Amino acid sequence: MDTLNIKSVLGNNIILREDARNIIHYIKENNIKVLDFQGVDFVSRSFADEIYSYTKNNAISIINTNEVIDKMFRAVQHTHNNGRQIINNIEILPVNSDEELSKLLLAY
Amino acid sequence: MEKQRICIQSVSQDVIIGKVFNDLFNIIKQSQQNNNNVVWDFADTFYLHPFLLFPLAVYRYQNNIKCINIRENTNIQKYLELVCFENLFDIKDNQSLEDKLSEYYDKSYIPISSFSINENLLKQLQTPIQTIIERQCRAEKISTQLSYFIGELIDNIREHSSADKGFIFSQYLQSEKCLNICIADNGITVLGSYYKTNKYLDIIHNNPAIALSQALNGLSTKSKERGFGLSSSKKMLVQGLKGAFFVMSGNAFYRYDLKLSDKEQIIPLNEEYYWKGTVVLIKIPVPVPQEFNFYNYIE
Repeated sequence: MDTLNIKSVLGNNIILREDARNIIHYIKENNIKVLDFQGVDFVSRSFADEIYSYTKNNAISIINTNEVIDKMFRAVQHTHNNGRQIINNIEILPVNSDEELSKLLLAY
Repeated sequence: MEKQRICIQSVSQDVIIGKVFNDLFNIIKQSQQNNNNVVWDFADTFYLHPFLLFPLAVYRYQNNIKCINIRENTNIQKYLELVCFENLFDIKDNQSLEDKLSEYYDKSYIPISSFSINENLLKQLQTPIQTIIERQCRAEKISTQLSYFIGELIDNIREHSSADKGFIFSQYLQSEKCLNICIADNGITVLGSYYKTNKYLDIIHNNPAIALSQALNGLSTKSKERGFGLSSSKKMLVQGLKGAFFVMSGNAFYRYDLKLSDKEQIIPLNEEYYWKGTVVLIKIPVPVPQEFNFYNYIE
């Protein structure tokens, strides 16, 4: 058996990066060549990133992904290939007293 | 020595959200000024907004704060009992979680719950909780976004917080047509996570506000391909779903709500307002806007 059915080991809603690490360990131990996502509804971006980081260099096929999972893998692939730009849009408001804090909070 | 009494005032659904946080910070400050040797008095409380209720429950749990006049106050007693304010719902395993939570199918909330940070429990946590939340708010096309938000937040706790406990609560407010989801941990805070990994300390400058802003911008302690969890969640929630996103971590408070400002803002907090760990509070309007496209936000 060179195919691993993901749903049978992790269920249909997969969120943890650690689950991906466990899958990768299983792949190495059992010479898995195909990851079958039949029946899986959702994987987190973290899970997809961890799986993609390994499979891209190890000739592992990913099959039977639904639209959400397919696009999640495409998104992480895009980041790995093109990098990313971090834009800082967050302003840090100076607060010098409790009164200023209350005023800032109660302004809205 | 007599304990200092702190009155917990009502903060209802329809007040400005700033009052919720102003009251929360004042309660934390008064409690910490007295080394948590205080009692919280609920004699005059008749309603607490979820974003006040949840942090208070977690703070009380972590600091063993005594509460008085809950049983004597018929306005709040039943409500606090139902949401497990004083005795948090202890999530232990999936089987009992599904069974126990089944009684909440027809409610508008899940109880304020605590869970241990272990892999087996965490990976079983999301589906039963999410199933109930979706059923309660009866919203179409919300499933994928909920999976994304809850999944990324829980995975962040596992990957970065070094916490041993997590906390979760949700309440659907019919009158506001919004779902409020609260997730917290008792870990090392965002600043502590950068210190633990010895990453970007030249940028952070031991400043919790800068640390939180960098984390929310996506500067991961692990690698340049990572760090999307918080950054994409806040963007999707606020810009896409027109919701609101709030974070407290150590001595920093972040708010992003287009009803307040078109800017993302962080307010540094002094030591008396210190929050042990990180708490994320998200408000999701229901129904999902017609024009919303999930794929525009996963980068």
